Amino acid sequence: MNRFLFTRAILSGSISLCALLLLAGAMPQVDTWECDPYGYRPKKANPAGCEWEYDTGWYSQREVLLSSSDTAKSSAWEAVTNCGCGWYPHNVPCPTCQPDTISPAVTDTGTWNVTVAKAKQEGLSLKFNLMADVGYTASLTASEQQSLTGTHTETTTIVLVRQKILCFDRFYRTIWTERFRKKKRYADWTFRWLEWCNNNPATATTETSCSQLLAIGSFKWTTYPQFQWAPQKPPCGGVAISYPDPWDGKRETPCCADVCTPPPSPAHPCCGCEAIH
Amino acid sequence: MNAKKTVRTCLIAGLVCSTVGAILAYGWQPVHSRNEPASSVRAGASRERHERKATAIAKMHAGDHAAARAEFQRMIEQPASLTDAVDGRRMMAMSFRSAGETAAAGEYLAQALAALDTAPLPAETAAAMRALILMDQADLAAFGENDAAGAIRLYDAARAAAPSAKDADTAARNAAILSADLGQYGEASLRVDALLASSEAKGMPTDELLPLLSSQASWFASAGNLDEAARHYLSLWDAHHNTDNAYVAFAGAQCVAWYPPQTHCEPKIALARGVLGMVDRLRLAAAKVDASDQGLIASAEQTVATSLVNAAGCADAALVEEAQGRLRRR
Repeated sequence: MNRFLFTRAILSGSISLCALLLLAGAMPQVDTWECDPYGYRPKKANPAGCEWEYDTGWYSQREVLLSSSDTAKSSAWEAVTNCGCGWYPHNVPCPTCQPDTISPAVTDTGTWNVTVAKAKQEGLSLKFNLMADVGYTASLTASEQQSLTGTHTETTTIVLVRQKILCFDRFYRTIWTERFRKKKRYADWTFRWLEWCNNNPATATTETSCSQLLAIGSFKWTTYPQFQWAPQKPPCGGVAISYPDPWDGKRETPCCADVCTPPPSPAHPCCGCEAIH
Repeated sequence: MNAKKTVRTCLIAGLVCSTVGAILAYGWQPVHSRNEPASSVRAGASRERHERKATAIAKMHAGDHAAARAEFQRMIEQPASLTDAVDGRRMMAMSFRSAGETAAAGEYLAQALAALDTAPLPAETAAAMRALILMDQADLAAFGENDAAGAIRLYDAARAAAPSAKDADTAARNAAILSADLGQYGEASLRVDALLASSEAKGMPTDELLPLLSSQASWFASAGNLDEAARHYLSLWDAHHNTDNAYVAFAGAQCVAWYPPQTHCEPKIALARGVLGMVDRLRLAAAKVDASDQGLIASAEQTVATSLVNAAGCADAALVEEAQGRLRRR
């Protein structure tokens, strides 16, 4: 029984040794980059008796800016309805248009997404490079610094005094900038081959190349928003609706027909205070 | 007796396995014999040089700069090929740049150029090396030193010297985008037009072309020229709306937002439906979409949905409700 156990121990030891050695064989000793010149032999044919011999190779690493944009973004419009719609002659007090104040919490967000083909270090380097490109300076946490995909958000509050006005519905929205940058980093090997004929160097040379993607990624910085009010429109002295329209076609809305085109005196517009016309 | 036999068998098996494992682990490396042809000896030496360099590069990328620099220094001090003295300095610069030491990187690139001037290289090889060093200098200025103006000048020089269309394309593209970074939107756009008209752009893959076109359109908007921005975005959408792509969706979304519902209701709604359809298809095919473009897809959806909510009256109630749902889900 004991002898059997002994034999089994030796057997499993040998098998383990085999497995370990085979595993070591399967793993490359040093992680050399995949481009091997002999995998990229010249396709150009040689004269009889001649052949291409690999001479030397050059490695280069490039960053390609794929996209870079600043885009104005906006939320949906919110209405601030008029504080009175009617004609108020001088002997009738005008309505008082009381403002109210809102202070919503808003965010400033950095979002990154990097894919690496090889070393994580390359991806992290690309991420910080992208952050510098867009001018993003927020302090990332330790785990955010080490992540290839993530979001960093900072929050604050902004204040808006919503002033109602007579005769017009007003509209406001938040606007912000979305700064987007995308780039990739790749490496190229250029292999130089010399022609040898009957064991003598000839003058012909040729080059082959191999390219590897190291990392690709983007960074999107969504800035803190600001408030924007829609303008008036003609004939109320505002901006005509055009294409393309920066306010998405939104304008202050008169509460009745002839606020801005009043009939001749002594008639009066449908809305307004006589004292202030 | 049997146990002894078993032990002996196991030991022999272990020895065989060890030998096989060692061969697999260290590779089959035949020793050059006296009878070996000279070409094999040369090939062996070239391969050994390549492997030493490739190993040093792998170490550099893994952050082991000391080991990498030892090999690059050896190339400088004991050159095994005509290009080693130049290339060793260039690689040294790459290691320093990778480690964030941009001043040292710049110094080594300057040394590489100086060494190139005196190296007895064939003209063709010297030209190729010069183009590589110029591109390295431009990349260093752009991404190491944040000197966009200097980088643009260097990219222009590199582009003129670049023997490969790929490097020329990269130089032209980077110079255009850096011009936009400097607020020179007009020049940036002209550079894109020149690139697209050049021979280098003929083989530009879609995943490089569409981001460039989208960026160019955005620069007009940044410069306050919404008319041109809208024209470029619309032309991008029109030309590529059959290709599901984040940049095409983004371009379409910008056009949707700029169509005033009072005067352009019909095209606004048609385009909005087209863009949202593309957004949904891109989401379904998420595995095929570059992860770094997901943010753009979300952005396109937000723009269109917001614009539809704002366009109540032009957009029907069901569409506005769908748009509100999309905004709520974000």
